[in-house]
Amino acid sequence: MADKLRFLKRNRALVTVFTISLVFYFMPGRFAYPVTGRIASASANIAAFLQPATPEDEKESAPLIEKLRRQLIYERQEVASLKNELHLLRKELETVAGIKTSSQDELSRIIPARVILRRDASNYRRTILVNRGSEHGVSPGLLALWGCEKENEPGVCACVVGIVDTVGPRACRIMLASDSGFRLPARMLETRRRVIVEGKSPGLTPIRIKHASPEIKASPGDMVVTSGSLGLYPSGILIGFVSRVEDSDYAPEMEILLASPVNLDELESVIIVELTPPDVPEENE
Amino acid sequence: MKWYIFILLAFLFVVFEVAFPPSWQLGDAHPEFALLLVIYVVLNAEPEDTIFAAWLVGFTKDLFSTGRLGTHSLIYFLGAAVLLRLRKYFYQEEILVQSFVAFCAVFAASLLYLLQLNFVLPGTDVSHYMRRVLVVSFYSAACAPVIFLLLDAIRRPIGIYQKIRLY
Repeated sequence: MADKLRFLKRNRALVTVFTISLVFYFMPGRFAYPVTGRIASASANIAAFLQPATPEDEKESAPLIEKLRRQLIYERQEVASLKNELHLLRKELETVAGIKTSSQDELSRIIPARVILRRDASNYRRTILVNRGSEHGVSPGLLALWGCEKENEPGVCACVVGIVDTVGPRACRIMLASDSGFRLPARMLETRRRVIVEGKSPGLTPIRIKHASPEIKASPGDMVVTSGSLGLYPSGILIGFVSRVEDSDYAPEMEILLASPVNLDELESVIIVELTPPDVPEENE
Repeated sequence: MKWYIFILLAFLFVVFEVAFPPSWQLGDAHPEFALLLVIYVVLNAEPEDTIFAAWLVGFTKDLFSTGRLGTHSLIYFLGAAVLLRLRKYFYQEEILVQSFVAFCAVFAASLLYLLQLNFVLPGTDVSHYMRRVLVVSFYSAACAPVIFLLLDAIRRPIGIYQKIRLY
């Protein structure tokens, strides 16, 4: 005991640093987020200083915002059509006695944001830093979307690129869909089966459904959309397309690899949105 | 150790890591410059400074990363403590030895990071990342001699006046 005390006294500085490290590491999220948010904001400011916006960039931002807003309008149309399809399916299945349509969805906040830092300091995480924070109405947990124009048909399709992780006053960090910490309740659009999608790694198939039941019957090209089952997000926002189905180590389960419509490593701007979830009872499956 | 210069240096290393040109990446991996700085300090600076320096570099890296605050600082702290015990066995001037130490340290730190990731996010496939761990370790080891030469050139401003020779 005396030896241990002597060791502690001799290495007081080491013990202090180690204790501080442990305290930081085990700090609960509700205490850590304000700290990490401010730190993310500070690092964003530094990054913005290192990559200052040129006057040309500023000139470009106004049409960009306008374009993003237009894309969002199209995206709402897309969501509405998917919801309409969902409504018809519900009717066909005759399980829709009290289900309302989800047309009351509102995009309560639309925040276009520009990517400041496209990479995480860690080789094993995938995050981006954008120039919008709590001062602009961003809060943790909001969805980050990207709008893409379809090549051969009019309209725009929006897809999920990530979730807001930590928020500072003027910047926030978005956890990309390819990050290992990304989890989102989703649904196969064709079969209506509920699944959980998670980040896998960057590349052609950055997202996966790890433990997929054989009943899901996924085939390449099938769309996976948000399910809205937790009440946090609305349903019907595109997450990705089924790229291939592989055997899992936990047979008969399968692993479904998804391709994102957008290259998550080359994002230049995103739209952070808060959508009021529809007041629709859960489907019975 | 001149701490204010060292903090600036740590910050520059992490920023360089984050802003590493994509065309220089191996696959999708970049070298762990911050960890190379820690290794250099642990191998060459006064023992009493090394642990805190490692923690400081780790904390700087935490500022630019997601996940729990203090993850990198804790890993670098533990890594520095282990490497400090082992440094008397290394011939620091030898390039191959430097690269080997860098490879082992980056490999061990990456594994520790992934294990804690698996602890924080259950279900994370550590084996899935093994190829990336190897690529990052090799790339860091390849960069180590250049980075150590660079740091040798500026060691006096940092406050490493005389390289500790234990062999």
